[in-house]
Amino acid sequence: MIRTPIAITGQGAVCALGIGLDAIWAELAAGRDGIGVIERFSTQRFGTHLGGMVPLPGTVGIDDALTTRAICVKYAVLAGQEALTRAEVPMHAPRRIALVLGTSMGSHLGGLHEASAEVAAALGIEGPVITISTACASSTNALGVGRDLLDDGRADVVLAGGADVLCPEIFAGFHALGLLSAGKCTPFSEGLGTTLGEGAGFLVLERAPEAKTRGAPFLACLSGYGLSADGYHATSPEPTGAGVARALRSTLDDAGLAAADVGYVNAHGTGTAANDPAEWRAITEVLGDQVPVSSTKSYLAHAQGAAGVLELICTLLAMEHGQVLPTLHFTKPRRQGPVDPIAQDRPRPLVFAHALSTNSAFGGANAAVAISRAVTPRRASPKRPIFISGVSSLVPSKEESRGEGLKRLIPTADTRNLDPSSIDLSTAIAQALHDAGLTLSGVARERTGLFVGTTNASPASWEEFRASVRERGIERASAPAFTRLVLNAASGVASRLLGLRGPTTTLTTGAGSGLLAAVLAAIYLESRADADRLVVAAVDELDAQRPTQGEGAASLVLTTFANESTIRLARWAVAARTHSTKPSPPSPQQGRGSG
Amino acid sequence: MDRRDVLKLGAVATLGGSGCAGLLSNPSAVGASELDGFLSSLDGAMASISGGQFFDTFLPAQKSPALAARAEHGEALAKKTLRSLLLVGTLQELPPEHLAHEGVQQRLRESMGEFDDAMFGMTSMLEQLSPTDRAELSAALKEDPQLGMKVMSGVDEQAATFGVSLKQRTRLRALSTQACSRLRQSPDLLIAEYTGKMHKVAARHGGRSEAQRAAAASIGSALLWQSQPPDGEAVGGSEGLTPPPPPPPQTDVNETRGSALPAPQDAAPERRGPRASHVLLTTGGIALGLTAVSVGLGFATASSGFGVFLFTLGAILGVTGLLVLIIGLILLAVGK
Repeated sequence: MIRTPIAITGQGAVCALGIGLDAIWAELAAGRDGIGVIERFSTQRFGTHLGGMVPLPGTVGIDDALTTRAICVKYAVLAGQEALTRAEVPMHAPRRIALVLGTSMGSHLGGLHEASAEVAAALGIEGPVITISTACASSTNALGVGRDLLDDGRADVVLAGGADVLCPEIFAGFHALGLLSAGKCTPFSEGLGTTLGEGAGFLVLERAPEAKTRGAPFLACLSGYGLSADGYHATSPEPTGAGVARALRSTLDDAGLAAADVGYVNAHGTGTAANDPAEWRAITEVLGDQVPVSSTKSYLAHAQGAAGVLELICTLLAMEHGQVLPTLHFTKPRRQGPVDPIAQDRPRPLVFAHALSTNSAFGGANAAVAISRAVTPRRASPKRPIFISGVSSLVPSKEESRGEGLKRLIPTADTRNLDPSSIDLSTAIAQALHDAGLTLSGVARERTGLFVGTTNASPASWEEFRASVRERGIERASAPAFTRLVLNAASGVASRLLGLRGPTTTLTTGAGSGLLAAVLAAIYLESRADADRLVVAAVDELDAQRPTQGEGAASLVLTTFANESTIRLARWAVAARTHSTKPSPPSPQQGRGSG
Repeated sequence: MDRRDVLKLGAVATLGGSGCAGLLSNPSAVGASELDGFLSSLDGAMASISGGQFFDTFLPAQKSPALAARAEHGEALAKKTLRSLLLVGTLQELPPEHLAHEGVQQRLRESMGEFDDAMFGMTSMLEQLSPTDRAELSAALKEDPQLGMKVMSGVDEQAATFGVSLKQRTRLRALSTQACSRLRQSPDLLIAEYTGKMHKVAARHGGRSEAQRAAAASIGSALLWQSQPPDGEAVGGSEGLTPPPPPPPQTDVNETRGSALPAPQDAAPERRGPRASHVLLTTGGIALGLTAVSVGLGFATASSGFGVFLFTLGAILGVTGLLVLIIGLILLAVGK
């Protein structure tokens, strides 16, 4: 059985290199990076002053979350408009257009789903709006979710990508973690550390036959994607690269590609001491050591949640010109680095049929995508029935201190540095797994994933971070608290404590986040061969800023194995964002959905 | 009328029905040696708009006198607006150094009257929509909330066919999305808000000389003044470099709403030059919250003195023209 190929029909971007693809390609081709001294906010108290900032007038002097959000929305709208226009997407069927926006912004941005809704409104999109937040892997993850929505008939066009803004808190957090480079970042080369950046990028995805019918431009085929969790550490990748390797294998499997088919890898390549060697080990393990590997962060800096899609867009631009991008500023190779990092100052002529782009993130989330120059029919796994094998719900009790429940289920769990969200989420998941009668070990851990829906990162951690800034100054902001400000921090903890190393994502749509996580998990599990179970969970923590909201966590275990105690998950749906006075007719694929 | 015809009308109207737009598809890449040829292409496109017949094909052969008069007025206004949009939109994309070219400046000067007619004609047309028109508009949008976007989607498709630049099409898409979204919520409110704001701002910031001074102060550059002849009348003003007078008093919107052309308060008619184009200089920018950006562009094109003008005119004509285009086409689509 063949799955419908997914075409990339449009792209748009704003990043440190410029606004719009024409400006960006001019810089890429000339070998000029977009890294310079940050002028938007003061970096006087820090040891480094460089960033990859978007050269957009009117964005100087941001100092509060509201303005940061406005800029983030602005970037996203600019990139989205360009992508939709380039793809010639008709404007009159907005309910069949979905937006999947990846961003690493957590508490810095207020309600992430509200920002996404603003972007959708500005772009006239009225289909499903989903915000993916798996830190630096967000936009790559978003591309995969967009692909799944198309595969499952939930939309006809998906605008998928990401947006992020560099603000003082994020700069301070990375500085506190000791991850920033004094000079321009030099992935895989001597000179450790990364340079932060910002921007937004979007791809327009469509089912290839329909895109062809309407005469849409064809840029490439999004032939596969993969997700995985390290389950190792809040910020450091698993040193052997096992987590990244799982994402790469999963991508190849999804795309129906062999290792030898891959002609180029655009690596996450942050330039840090922990990331680059682990990533190279993973690439070597899965693809061998002869494949050309470069990191576009040497051009753009690290655009955080938007990094993945921006790097893929740069790869696509280079592919269009029969080239691959170099790793700029490369001087002397590190001991554990690519054999061919494309160490030169201009793009290299190279025609490839398939390429991979990979990203790794805080919380141990990994994501990778495969693109192909031509329409690539994909092998389809037979659709599998989905069952619910375990459930749990948790409302924090006054009688029992937080963490006691978790300790009962996982006696070795150390809850001292965990925020309430992480404790509640881990407890609920542990209870659900217990309810399902599961004790994970060995390969079962790698075939069990975690999809989480939530509204905000932990307010307690945000307050802790702010208190550290107030008391010690921004240059001494709390590094541990900073690592918990990404939306997927709690799921990273749960993955680590419970050994869930399969596909993972964290998303938000506001109040319906948990249900949407269940739907996306069902879509994923139904059609993919790289997981047998997905734990779905939702969590929210009491927020003094939103006193009317409660708190708690809940979890389901979805499985492909049935027994006498499982319940069949028969139908699901993803609702459009708004309701028109006249319901649009359901597409044939929507038959299963009933809410 | 077939809905497809209506879409075609919109496309033809927006693009001037010429096919010449292909020559103008990338103004930002026009080199100095190509400028004359480029301006000739632009003239050709403008002429084809003037010669086009937009309404006849779509109106019944036997027209009532009222409908005939309305169609004639509508067609004349459409042509002026489209010519203005094409001129401003295209010149706005030229590299800044080309804006000082005599051919560019001449075309702008000669078009000022048309700009005014387009601007105020469009506003007036919005105001003159009868309660019945508005009710039908609301009903049409309630029946099919995507009607506005369908109209504009057709326009965009044709724009792509004619090779209109990606930048202009992206902007058209953004404006269409905003306008249709607001229109769908409440046509009445949007029209009232827009026309009210127009009158208020026009009354408050109407003076050409004031616009010159504001631009000069913001730019802080001698370039603007260098571009003026000694008598200070290069762009129609006659006040030279005299210190600016005190700001005009605030005008109550109710005093000006409904009047056809609110007179600027800080300049006597004989000092305003032959046309009231200057009102647009500040009106457009302020109405759209684009003052800062327009000043930025003004800086870039200070030597020509047309930077602010180009941007604000393009912006305001874009929005008003688009609004009228969408409303008009929707009404045509529902058989009005």
